[in-house]
Amino acid sequence: MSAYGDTYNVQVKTGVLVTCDSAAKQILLHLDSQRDGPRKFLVRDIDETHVMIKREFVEEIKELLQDELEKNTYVQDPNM
Amino acid sequence: MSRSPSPASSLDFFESDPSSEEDFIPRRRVRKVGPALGGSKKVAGGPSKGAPKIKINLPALQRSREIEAAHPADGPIEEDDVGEGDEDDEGYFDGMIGKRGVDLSNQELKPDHALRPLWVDDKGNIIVEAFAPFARQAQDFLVAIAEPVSRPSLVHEYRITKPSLHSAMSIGLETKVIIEVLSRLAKTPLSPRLTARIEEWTASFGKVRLVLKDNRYFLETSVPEFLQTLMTDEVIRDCRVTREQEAGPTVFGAEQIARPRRDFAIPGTEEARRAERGEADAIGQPNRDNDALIGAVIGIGEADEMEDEDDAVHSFEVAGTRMEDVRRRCKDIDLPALEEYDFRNDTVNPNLDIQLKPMTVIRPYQEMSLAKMFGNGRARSGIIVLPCGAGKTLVGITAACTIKKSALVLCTSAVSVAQWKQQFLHFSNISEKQICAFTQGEKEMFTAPSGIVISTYSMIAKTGKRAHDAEKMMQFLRSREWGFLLLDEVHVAPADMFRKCINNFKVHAKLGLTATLVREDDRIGDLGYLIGPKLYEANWMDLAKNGHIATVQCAEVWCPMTPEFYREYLRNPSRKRILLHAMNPNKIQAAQFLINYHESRGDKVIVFSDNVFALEAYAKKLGKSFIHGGTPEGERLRILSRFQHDPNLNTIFLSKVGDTSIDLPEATCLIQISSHFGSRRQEAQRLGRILRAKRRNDEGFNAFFYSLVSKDTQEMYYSSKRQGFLIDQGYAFKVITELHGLDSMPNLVFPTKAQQISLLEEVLNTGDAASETADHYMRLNHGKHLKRPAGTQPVLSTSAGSLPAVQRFTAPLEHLSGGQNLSYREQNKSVNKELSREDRQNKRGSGGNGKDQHSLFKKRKAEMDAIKKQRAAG
Repeated sequence: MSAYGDTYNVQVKTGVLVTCDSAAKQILLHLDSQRDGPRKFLVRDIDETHVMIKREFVEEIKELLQDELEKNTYVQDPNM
Repeated sequence: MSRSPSPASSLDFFESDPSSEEDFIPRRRVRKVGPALGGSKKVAGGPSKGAPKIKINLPALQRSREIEAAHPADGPIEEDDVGEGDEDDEGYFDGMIGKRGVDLSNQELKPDHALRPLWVDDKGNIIVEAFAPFARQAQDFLVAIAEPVSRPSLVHEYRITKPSLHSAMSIGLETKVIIEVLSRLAKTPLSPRLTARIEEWTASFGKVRLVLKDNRYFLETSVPEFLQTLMTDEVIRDCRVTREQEAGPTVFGAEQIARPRRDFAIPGTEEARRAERGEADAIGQPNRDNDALIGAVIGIGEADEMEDEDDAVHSFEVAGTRMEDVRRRCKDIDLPALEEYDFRNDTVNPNLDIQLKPMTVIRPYQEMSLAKMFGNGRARSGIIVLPCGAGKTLVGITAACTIKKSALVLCTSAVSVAQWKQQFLHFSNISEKQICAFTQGEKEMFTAPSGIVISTYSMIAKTGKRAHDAEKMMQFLRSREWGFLLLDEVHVAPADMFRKCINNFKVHAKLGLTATLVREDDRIGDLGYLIGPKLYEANWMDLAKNGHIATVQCAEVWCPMTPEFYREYLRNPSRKRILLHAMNPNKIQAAQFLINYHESRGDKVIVFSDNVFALEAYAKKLGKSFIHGGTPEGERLRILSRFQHDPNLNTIFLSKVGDTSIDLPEATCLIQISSHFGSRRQEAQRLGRILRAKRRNDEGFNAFFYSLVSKDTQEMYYSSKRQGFLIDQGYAFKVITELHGLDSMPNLVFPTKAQQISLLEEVLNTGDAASETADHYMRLNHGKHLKRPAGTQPVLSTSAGSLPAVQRFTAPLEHLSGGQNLSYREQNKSVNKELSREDRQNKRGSGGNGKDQHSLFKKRKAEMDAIKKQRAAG
């Protein structure tokens, strides 16, 4: 039974609302899709720039997101 | 952040947050000061003991901070050399500030430091204040002894390295002079570590020379100890030739030759011109003035030079057949031999009658580079680095005119062979009989005793069977002795190929020309060994300032990925990613916007894309013509000539084929949509396409260089890496995050989500071949032009006999019925085809009156033609 179909079945979930740009959101979705079971952190995909994630994952996700973005940053090799 | 309790920490800028951007430059400058010496002897003990005086040039620091603020793009490079310096233990420095900087603020400044432009640290890093009074002279000196690391407009960075010192030695500078001048120019006393290092590095190099004289090879040295070392070395001893008839000098290895001075003029210079006019007195006057000026500060004058000349030179002969061994051995025992060619005393090889035409004037920097080559009256082998469009060809031709011996010129393609030949004829008085090309199509030999042969690397280095005439030509080339070997674009050919080119021929002097002495592999070092040291590297910014090359505004345009594309980007393997970030709809829109904007300004635009699929897609969508490896030669020429002359065709799309070989002086704007990973050379070569812009001397003219980058993708990484070289040359890249007016532009491509998604679908359905950055047409189809890359378009009809291999693809059901975008495809007709159709029509129009000619007229025309032909023949 869908949680949203039945008006009496109200579920309350706590989470953290993440506001980010659309690219960062896509990275979050991508990270989430690679996980399964209890390690999934996504609560709700709200719109282009907002997602809700579980509180306990916030720090971890911050780090992962940073790593992902860092990959595209070029640091000049000092010995070149 | 751990920070030692340095006395300097009382200065405010050391206290500020170390991670903030604006303060790190001043700190770095301070680090450059080098550890204390001279003033106090307790240096090693640490500065914290003896309450040292802090004398930091605060105004200068303040100034540099302002400079930094004014040129934000200079920031990233400044960061680069932290912690570099081979074997040095970082702990040597007394005060370390974090990871980035070293606090050397305990340095004592010389009282007149404001006049001295250099900061020198003990690893050989040099910072030049390019705005200082004697910066000009300091730079001339530094170019000779150090590698330019980066040269933005106001603060330059150099580094002394082993090869750079070797180059310095090769142009006749002595260790003593180098240290002397350096310490005079520096704001602080030199560190003993640095002087020791310079002494060590220069101890052996440049002191041994390999000279080809009267067809005999001699090893020369001015230091008797080295002569001993060489003569007792077993390998070299074996190679030595002793001639009985001239017992005296060779047996003792002490043939005395005074080192000659440059007493001839390089043609085309002001000096030569004056000499011709007979104004002997005035020769070199302006130069002398300059020397005197710098001499006053740095104190080297005529005296030093005179001393050099009294040096006796000892030499002995080595066998010409074993040159390779000698060269290698010399390098192994750390006495690398310089090769020089005493061309004026060469009586064996016939002179070539070649002179620059009187109208030919060479520019100051060209003269300077040549002066480095012919510094002591002999021709030195080496490499000259000049930006694209700055007249490398003329430098090569002038060098050939100075040596006046048979010359062999090697370049990269048949097109440039033709260009070189044409330039030789244009700038010099050489007769057409004496200059010949050796390419696939042309195989001539000159009949005169001397001449010039121009060929390509691939022709010379080719292995395997050759055609009969090519083989004969090669024998001819091998049998001769060449006075001069000129290597164009030396960076392109891999080292193996080079070795072959160079070792195959008996050559006296070698000169390599290039714009970009960088390779992403480590092979650039091999060039130094195969050809010679870098003789000269021009400062791009100076050339631009003087109008020799165009001033270019560089910009990096950040295009956000659309969410749909980014989602696929994250999910797909890296091969596919290339295509996804190249085809980002926002990028296509940005390209469209920029093209429209610049076309309306009257610019001629070149768009570069390494990815051929993207190239075709863009060109068709935007209705522009394109050239890639698969475009037939005729069509190529037609498009290029249209681009040059037709005011209605202002934009062309080029693949990799346009990187170097296509010369378009009309182009004034360049947009890059996809590129070959992090190749710094490609970036610089592409920039070179607009440096020679014809309109460059117009008042306030700017050429534009845009690099379109999809945000949050690999492109960002590669883009920054690619810019490295240009930033070091002083170019600043502006980052554009938003193009104003993009939204309000009419006819914007892919305006709706649906269209973007269908584009995405198309991209995802293309075959793997399309995602390569290589111009795969060049390999796969041998130049045969296919309509589109295999697999782009799912073809349903069975009538086409030779379909590409079966392709799997996912698509909605409409695809099968042709109900999706297939039927609309024809709307984007290739402009290429339109052009050729137009041309055909024009031809028909001009040939006869109307479509059909009456047979009577046809007959008459044929008769007239026959008569004309007869006349021409008779």
